[in-house]
Amino acid sequence: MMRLLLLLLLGTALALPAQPALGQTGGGLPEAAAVLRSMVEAPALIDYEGTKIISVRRSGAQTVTVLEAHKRSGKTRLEFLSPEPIAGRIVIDTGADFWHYEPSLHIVFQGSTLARPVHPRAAAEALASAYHLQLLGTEEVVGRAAFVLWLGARRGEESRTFWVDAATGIPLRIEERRRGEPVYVAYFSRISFSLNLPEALFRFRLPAGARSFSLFPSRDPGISIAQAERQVGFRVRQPSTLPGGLRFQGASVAQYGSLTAAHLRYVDGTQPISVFQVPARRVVTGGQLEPGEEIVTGGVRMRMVDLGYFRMLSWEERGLHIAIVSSQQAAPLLALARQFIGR
Amino acid sequence: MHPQVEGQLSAYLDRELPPEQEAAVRRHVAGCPSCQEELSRLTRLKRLLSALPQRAAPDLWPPIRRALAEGQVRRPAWWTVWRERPAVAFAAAAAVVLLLLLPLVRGQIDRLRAAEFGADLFVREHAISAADDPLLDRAYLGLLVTDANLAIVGARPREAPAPR
Repeated sequence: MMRLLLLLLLGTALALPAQPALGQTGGGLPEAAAVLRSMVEAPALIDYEGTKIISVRRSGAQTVTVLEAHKRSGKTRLEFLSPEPIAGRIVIDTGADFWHYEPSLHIVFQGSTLARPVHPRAAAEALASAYHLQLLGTEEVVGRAAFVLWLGARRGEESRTFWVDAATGIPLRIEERRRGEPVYVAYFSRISFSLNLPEALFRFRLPAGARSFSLFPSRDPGISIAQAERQVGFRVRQPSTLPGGLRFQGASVAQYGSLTAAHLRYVDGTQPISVFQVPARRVVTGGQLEPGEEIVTGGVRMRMVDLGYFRMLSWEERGLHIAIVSSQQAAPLLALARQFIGR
Repeated sequence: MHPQVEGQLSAYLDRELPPEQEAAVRRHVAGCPSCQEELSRLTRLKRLLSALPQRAAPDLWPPIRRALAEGQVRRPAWWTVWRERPAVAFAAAAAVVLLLLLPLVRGQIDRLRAAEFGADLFVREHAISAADDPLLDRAYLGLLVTDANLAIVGARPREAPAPR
């Protein structure tokens, strides 16, 4: 009898989606911070599968359709449906490894997982300190009630709006704007929860005869600048001071082929900023990407290239090629770049 | 003449045959006029040769040894190869020049290649580090990383035709 009761309890627990607790305000709406926290911790509690439409500004607009499946904890499967050049692309993140299969080229890439352990309370607090939070109300998205949560960067003019599923905490729609202009919109056109997604969906089997590449990211992420210098074999420049709100998160070494670059990471609670440094003799200047916008600051000629979601600011100074990459606006990137000049 | 016996007449004359073969040749020659005639010719020839005066062969080794000891044996100077074997000399010179230029050419190729994938490597590394942002859409992150994967190995996907 006792075993039957335990089985019933277990079955009920598995059948119901876990629901993050939301602090209720007097007017019936939860607090914005509570919705933010439910959204941050939802991936660790909820499984889902749906069709997502992504629109991103990239030398004109690009719309991408992808089947997205997520399983606790840290497992993701993406199958891209459109546009044509990426149709059929499969991504499987097992929580330990990241696999990418490109069927049109019959190529497989293996790398490190993109899943990160999240400490919801600390992450929500860090976000709340970097953004103004505001709960704008509720709306219906794909037939589900959603809280509309607005985050406006305390520094800069970047904002993010999330339509957070009231029952699960999963964002059903995301919008990112810079100076009021939308740069990124993603939404589910359909979504299902608690499907008991099979483990096999998140396993990768190497297709027969496929060419395989290992592209693991930087060695030893989170090392000190001195350690990075020893690995890259040149003096790594550091900023004289850090512009307001930025702090150094860690260094690593990015390497592929003959190119070895020092990678310094800076964070301010919003989107991170990466600074890459490589001896100029190792890179032909002007050979990469579009020409971009030329900017002269502190007597140094730089190029700002808009990659759509990301921006890259690059220049050469005293034998070093430096590139700053971030999805932040141009101003914070330039402010950081000035601190590297003459160092 | 009998070919088999003819081949043995010289050895018969020099007493080099085994006894039973020598007896067989003797019996045959006794009853064969042509072999008798050939044997007589060989006998005369042998007599003529033995009548020639004998001279000792000159000993060549002592002067060579002496020359070696005195360092008189000289090899041709290496630069004379230009005159004696110009094709070999030219090939060797070309190989040396190629070896000297190889690092420079390879360095330039590396720089061009680095320029091709450098920006994509930076974007990929940044996208991976941006995974720390809990609000970043994982689907878009996957798209960014996979696009960069292809660009880094020089296999960009085909661009979709522009809508009309």
